[in-house]
Amino acid sequence: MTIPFPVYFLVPSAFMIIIVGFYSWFKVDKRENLLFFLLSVAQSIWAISTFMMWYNCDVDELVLFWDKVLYIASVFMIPFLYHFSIELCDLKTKRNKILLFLCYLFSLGFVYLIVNTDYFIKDLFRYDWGCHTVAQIGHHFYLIYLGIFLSLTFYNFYSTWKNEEEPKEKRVKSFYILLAFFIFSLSGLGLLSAYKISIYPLYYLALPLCALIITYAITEKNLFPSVVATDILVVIILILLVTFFIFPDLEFNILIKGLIFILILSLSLLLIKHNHEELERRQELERMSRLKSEFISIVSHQLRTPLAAIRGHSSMIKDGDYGEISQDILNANKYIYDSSVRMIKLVNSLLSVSRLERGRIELNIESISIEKVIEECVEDVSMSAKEKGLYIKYKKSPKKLPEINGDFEKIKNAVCNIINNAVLYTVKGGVTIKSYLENNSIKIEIKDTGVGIDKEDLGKIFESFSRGKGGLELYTQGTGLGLYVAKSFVEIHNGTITAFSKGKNKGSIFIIDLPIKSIIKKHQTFNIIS
Amino acid sequence: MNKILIIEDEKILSEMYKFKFAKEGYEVLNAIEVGEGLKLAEENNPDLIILDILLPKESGINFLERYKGSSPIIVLSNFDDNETKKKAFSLGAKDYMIKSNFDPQEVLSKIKSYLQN
Repeated sequence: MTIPFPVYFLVPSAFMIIIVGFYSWFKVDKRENLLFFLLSVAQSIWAISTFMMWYNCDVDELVLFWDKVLYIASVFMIPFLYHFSIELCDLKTKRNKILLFLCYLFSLGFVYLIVNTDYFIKDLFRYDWGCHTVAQIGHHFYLIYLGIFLSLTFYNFYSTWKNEEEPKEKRVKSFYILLAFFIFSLSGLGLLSAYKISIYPLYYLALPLCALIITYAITEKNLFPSVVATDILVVIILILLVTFFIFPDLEFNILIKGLIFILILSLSLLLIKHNHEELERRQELERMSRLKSEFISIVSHQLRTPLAAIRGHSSMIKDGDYGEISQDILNANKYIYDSSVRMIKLVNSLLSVSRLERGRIELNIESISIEKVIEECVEDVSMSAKEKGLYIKYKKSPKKLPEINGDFEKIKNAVCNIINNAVLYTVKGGVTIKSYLENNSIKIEIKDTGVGIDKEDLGKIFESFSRGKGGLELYTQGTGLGLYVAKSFVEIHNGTITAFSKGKNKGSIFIIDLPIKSIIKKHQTFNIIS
Repeated sequence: MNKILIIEDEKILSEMYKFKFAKEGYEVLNAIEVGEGLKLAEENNPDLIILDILLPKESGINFLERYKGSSPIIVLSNFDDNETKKKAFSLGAKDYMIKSNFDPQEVLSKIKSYLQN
């Protein structure tokens, strides 16, 4: 017996739907994605076992075996689809939960009938184009069960699609799922042969159509966010090609071949379109990032002038240039001065970030002494450490460290940033700095007895605008830019910064590693988008 | 008495520096744009020039290009651009300081060190 051509479509469709289902779940681990995957597994088993039944139409036992498998798969499709509709449409009411429970329960009952009894299907019916088993009493009830739960499922999707109060995205999703599975339900016409009514199995084309609609909804309508369209499209094209290799002797007429050609062509065009869209999106992101950096740069320059005036005048009041002033005013003036310095530091950090993001960092390379860098940083923070009652110790390497090639100001910015942070985030105790030579690198170790860093924050503290939880509790004035800039400056010198902490209130250790011999470009270009 | 020429268009800052430097005994001249600065420099032959970059009409870089005198020039600007810095140094500037990063006292110390040299 020659197998009708629509039956052949079941195999590639089965692969296509299961890959789409698996990929959707693999990318987004949500319950609705898992249910969609389970549904695609049931659909694929149904499709493959249907094909096998037709393929083995001459052997009674095999027809019965594969028909039982396809029935088990289709029995499970119902609760999975109904459950999927409840999750996707967010209809988790008590009534629906009870109905869902009943749906799963009935499906298990039908599986029992199929596997262990003759009350579901028995005997064979052969007709012009194929073969099928004959429906028994259990099958009649199965049709009722199918009708009820399929109607409920379609109603869920339909009511969500038509509900104007629902978000547009959800309504679009519901429409496409409804359309895909309504078309797929037409393959239920195959059940007519269980009642000895024979029709040409064109209805099997419903599965590839369903798979195409689902794929379209995923790729074009964001059915499952984060599922990358191009990945799916490439896999589908591969499946179609592999199918040609598996069935090289298919007697497809020219129309069918043409249809498949158009399908591959349209999928390829979609692929190209998506690549272009991705490219445009990236360009737009880069443009936005550039605009943001330019904005920060302009604003920073404009902020510096009034800040310089506030800092300048308050420092002159502090220095007594305007004559003797009462202690109260001096105290208030100190707040003004400190605040202006803080603001200037913030503006400087923003400018550094803006330059890093525009890739416009230029280095003034010279031979620099790391010991001198550390000494200057220690001097800078010694006053604030003293005010807080903290010790600050610098343990120099017993052997003089070699000089390295680098930008003094950038290295100093990075080292001072870390030491300054150590002082800011320490309440009791102090900060110990060590410098030593190890494996052709100069290591700077900055150890504090401060608030420490949570394990979950350790990986994030070097990101821009990131601040550890401990830091927020103790010191609320940080911008979260210092460590990001410090790391970037060290990396420009081919070095690394690593942070260690045993946890909250257990202090932190930062180690800066700078290679002695490294080639540093004077003009550094970065491609950072944030 | 050493003479210092400040070329700065922001009155709030030029007055501040003027006050600070005058208090230390310097004679302070003030110009708000390049043309006026060149004129004052030619007429008074200052011992040191403090020069801003972002000025009305012309940039401080133009001053450096057109100034023929021998007084040391310290650029004191909030315009923090590498290209401009390089250009300023190549045109003879002795230093390039970012205004907001230094107290007037620190600027004064710098001036003293240049005048001593």
